[in-house]
Amino acid sequence: MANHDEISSDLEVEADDFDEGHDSVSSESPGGGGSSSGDESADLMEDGHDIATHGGGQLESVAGFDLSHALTEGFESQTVEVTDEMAALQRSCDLEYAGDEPESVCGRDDRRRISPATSVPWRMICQLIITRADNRQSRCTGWFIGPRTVMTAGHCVYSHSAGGWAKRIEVVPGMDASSRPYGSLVGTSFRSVTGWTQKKKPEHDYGAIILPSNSLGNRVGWFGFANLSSSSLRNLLANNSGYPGDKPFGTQWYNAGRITRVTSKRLYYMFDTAGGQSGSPVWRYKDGKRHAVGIHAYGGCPNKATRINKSVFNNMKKWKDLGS
Amino acid sequence: MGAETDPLIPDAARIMEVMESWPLQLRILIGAHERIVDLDDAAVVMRDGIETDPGALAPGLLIRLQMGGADPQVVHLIEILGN
Repeated sequence: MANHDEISSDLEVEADDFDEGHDSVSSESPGGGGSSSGDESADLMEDGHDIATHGGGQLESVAGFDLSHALTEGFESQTVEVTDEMAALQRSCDLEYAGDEPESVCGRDDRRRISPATSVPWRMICQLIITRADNRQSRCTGWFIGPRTVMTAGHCVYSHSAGGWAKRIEVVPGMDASSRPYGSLVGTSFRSVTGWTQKKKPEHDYGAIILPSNSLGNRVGWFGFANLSSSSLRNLLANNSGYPGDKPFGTQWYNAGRITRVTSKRLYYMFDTAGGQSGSPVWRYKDGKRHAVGIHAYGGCPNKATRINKSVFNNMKKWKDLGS
Repeated sequence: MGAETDPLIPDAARIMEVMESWPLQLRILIGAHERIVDLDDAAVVMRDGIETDPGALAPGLLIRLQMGGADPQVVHLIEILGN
């Protein structure tokens, strides 16, 4: 069984793959075979559908966010390159690390709340309210990659401790506390891969929700995604936003920083996350375009995302096309 | 597969991964056995006898955890023993 073999929440499908475990599995029907995992060739990109953009650069424009910290956090030495972004900084770097901070909040907690969350890209990011297989409730974050397809972590759609596929997941894009500006949809059709559902491999921890209609996706838009080379990813300034459980329910919080370590299947970074942000996008913002490069899933400083390598990219394309 | 139901895991366990759903889920190693456990959303984390934030949980930490409380299938108390 290959680890990226697609799998659904109804029937699991076996297939072989070079990068084992990417066989897609689904909650409702047999999935297709696997795909190769090479990630060092030319970058692969699938553009998103963000209806509005605002300016260039590599970090999103968030009021009050400390760009200097994002540029330097995670570096032990003082060898940060001087870039145009650095030249535009409003204040000097603060490298103090409070020893008593929660560790998934790496160093100083410089998350910024997104409110309202009705502009691009925030509205493409969703609070997920999950009814697990054991009927317990949990929460994660998801993001649109197509009109009906919401990407998230594998453990948000398929929980080993709960006994399998979620029963239902309510998807609330752009949620901002009590405000649900676009309403919500309930998904009951899920996707993941055998590397997660059968082998429990953290590096294969990704999945998707296929919504019953395209009404939300067509309204809020969706992210692009990309399989970038390791050299493109190393030290990349990346963005992240999601719905952490340590903040008021349903509020979206942003952070950003450099990807400090890259492996063939995972990305490591020191920007701040918390429980509830599993499934949130790690994205590159460049030349006015947003491409997700990882699916955040793990904390512990460094925090970690499943890398969108070629196998993940191919499954995401397949899942996106399901909803088109 | 149902959730694992030990009311108490007496031996120390090592955190392998911290899954950032809410509540958190931990992949832990007990001896040679891996398992995934759910935390209660009000789980208490203690270090050196002082309550600390669940965000303090990180891979590599040695912990002792107690299940039970209102929901016997989730962890409601975690003691961080060290690295």
